[in-house]
Amino acid sequence: MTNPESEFLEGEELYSFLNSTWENEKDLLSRLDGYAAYRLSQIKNDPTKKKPSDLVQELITKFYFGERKIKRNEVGKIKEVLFGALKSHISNYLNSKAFKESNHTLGIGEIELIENGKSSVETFEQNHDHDLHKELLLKKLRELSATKIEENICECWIDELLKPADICDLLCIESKDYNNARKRLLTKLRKISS
Amino acid sequence: MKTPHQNIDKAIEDFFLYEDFKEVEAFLSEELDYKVDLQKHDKFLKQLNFKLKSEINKRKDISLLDVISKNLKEGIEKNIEKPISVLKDLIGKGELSYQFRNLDKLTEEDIKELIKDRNLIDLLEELDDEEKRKE
Repeated sequence: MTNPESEFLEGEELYSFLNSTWENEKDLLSRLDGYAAYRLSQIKNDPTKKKPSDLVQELITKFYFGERKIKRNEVGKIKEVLFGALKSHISNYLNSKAFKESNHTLGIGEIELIENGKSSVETFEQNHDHDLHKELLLKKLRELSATKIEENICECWIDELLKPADICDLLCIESKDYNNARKRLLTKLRKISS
Repeated sequence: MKTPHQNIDKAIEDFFLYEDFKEVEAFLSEELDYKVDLQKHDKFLKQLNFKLKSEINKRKDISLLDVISKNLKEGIEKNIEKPISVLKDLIGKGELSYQFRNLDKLTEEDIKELIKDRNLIDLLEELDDEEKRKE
């Protein structure tokens, strides 16, 4: 059942690897579930009524039964592999016909602008203007009553400063304040980023 | 250069992937009113492993069925004693319908049909023992 020459994990070697992953990374399935919950919470109308755990379980089943594969050189970064696969699985789900017919979701790089009571969707990939994109995102955050700390954290993320400790140092804030502001920021970003 | 949205998405992923899980749980509960159901995941993994074991056994049986039926068919063609006696034994027990009684005309598919409900591992061992005895 196992072929050590194969580029991918297969058969009993694959099952044993995945089972040991759940043993070693006790909260990994919950993290995947949490991310799916976050992404689905951005959707106003879900015609199929799938739960976050449904999406995660569909994905994991695909790995066990060979529809999705794990390369031998990916075993050391299995968390990232599963997360990447989940993003793609959710994206396929949100782009499915049944879903699209009853919903409009904002794609990556899109932002819904409400000006003078009128709603419009701006696509940033079309104009490639990084600074304008950044400014409009921050403006949208301010419209959602973001605090200065939330706005600053978002600005750090946009500028690819992602480590919490580095952000706390730069903004001269305690990690507790960072954590609280990040929670509120993530909630606001649900409304303008997908 | 990545777009601002791509960088924000990366920050969000990092939060769910690497942050202390208590922080993630607190966010899900306080901001999304969502609680991860750990028991549901445990149950899912148990069911998945059960399904997998059935699938592995099924695959093993299919491959055994191929090996044994080929072995028996070659035995008939080369007029080897053991495979023929195994099939005759089945006939003797009245387990074969009339259409299968002419051994020369049996195809591999016919043989698979005949032996599929037998204990395939016992049958394979029986045939292997005979080959080893001859060697």
